[in-house]
Amino acid sequence: MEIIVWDIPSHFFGFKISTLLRSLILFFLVIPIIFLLSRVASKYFSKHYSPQTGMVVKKVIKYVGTFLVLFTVLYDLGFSIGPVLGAAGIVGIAIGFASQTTISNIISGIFLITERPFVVDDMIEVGNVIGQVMSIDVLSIKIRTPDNKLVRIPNETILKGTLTNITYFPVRRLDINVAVSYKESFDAVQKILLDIALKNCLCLQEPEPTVRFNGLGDSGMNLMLAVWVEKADFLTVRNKIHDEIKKTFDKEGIEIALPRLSIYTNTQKPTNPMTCTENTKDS
Amino acid sequence: MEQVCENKIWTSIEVSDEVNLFQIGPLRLWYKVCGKELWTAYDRKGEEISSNDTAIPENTIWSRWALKKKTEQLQFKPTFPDRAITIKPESHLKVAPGAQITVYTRIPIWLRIEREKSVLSEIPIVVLSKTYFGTYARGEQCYWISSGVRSSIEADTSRPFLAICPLEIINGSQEELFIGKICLRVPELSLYLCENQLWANKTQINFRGSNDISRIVIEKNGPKEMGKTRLVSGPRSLEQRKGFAAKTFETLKDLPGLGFLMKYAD
Repeated sequence: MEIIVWDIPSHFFGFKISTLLRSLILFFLVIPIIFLLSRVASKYFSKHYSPQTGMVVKKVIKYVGTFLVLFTVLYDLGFSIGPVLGAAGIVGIAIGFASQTTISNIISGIFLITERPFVVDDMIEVGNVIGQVMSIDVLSIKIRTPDNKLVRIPNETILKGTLTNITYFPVRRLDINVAVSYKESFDAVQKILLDIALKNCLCLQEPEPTVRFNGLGDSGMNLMLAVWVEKADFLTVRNKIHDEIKKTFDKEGIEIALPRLSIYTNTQKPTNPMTCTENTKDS
Repeated sequence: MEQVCENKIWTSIEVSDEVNLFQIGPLRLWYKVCGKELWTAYDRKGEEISSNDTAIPENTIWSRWALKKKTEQLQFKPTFPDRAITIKPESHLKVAPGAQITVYTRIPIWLRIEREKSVLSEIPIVVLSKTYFGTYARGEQCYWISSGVRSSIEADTSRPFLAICPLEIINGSQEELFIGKICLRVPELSLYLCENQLWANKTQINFRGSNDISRIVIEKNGPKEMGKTRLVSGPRSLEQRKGFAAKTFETLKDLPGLGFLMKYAD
């Protein structure tokens, strides 16, 4: 009985060596091509649309392509796909019931991608987490905090809650609270604060800086200097303008309000403030 | 001052291993070569620089370029800033329906340092304040100047760092045009030299009503009223647009951008 070597596998597994070789070539050749294609597509879409779109396209090409190759290989090797798909359907239903949260996250992710309340590199605030968006994935987003921590937030959480995009608009308002002593003149302090803002090249001329009187506090007058800056200059201006205010106030003799407390004695005599006296041994 | 003469400013400069000084307006630029490296440093003075005030301050920071071969010449060229300029006229101006007016304004330019047609650096001669032109939904980041915006102007060779920009404003609408601010898109303009004075090509702005955006046309050549001019610097934009539409004027009817929201908050 003549046995042809390349027919041996067909006696055991139902396919020939040639078929196996063909499937292996298909698998090991096409999969890298799919990965390469996904990277090229990602670069193109990132350049022409947004990094977010590029990321999504890359993942779609990678997963769908790999899935198709796997099924093609299995079909080529003689496995019947029908039962596999049928089993996958049943398993899918079971998984669906068990992973409602995961599906919710996936659907929330789709809404986030289409609605675009933020994009990659935006600075956002979700709950008590502030950070820069690193990626927008199928189930979650990844944020890098200013102190370099990675925070993973499920898409469902973002869609259900409040999200603040700090860098959505090109300009931002910087509010600087200043309290000055009651003995100072509001008009004089207002003029000084506005001069400081207008002389700073990074403070926008328009919208113009303004000073708001926030109220008469316990220790002094509470004012707020509001200046508009480009979002990239926000931190620089915040540091610089506080420094300039302090230096100018020192130079002009403007007193910053310090906490003051008046204590009155609780006696039958008319209310008088307490006074300090020396040599109080006998009292 | 020798820098005022046309052929001494926007021209090729010999460089050596000695420190040389180039002054224009408040800007002082020092430059030298060290082997194949080119070194530059600059600062700005608040007031006019005297010819005796040439010493390099101690805390000046040098910039260095490592080049393919030793540099023997640099080209100093003028160029407009990299953003549009929002011009606030010092006095209010109104243009009646159907009327047109030509006005002039002076814009501070930047110094561009080139070596064999390769741009090494661009330095603002005067640092302008930043501003934002538009509303919270749509706007652009600009520089800010307050200018006379006169209907006639004379060349000022004592300030060669200021370029004269002619603007022809046509009120093609049925309403009065009140000019509170003008957004001039200088990256689209070229610079021409005529008798030691820098000029931009004329910008024609056709106002079509407060509910529409203005039509802007930029003339190809230097201002015709100056006669013979020499092109010294082309526009920054790679695509030279003959005409485009953009919001140019901010009138009393417009919300003053984001400041309005702030003032009426609470």
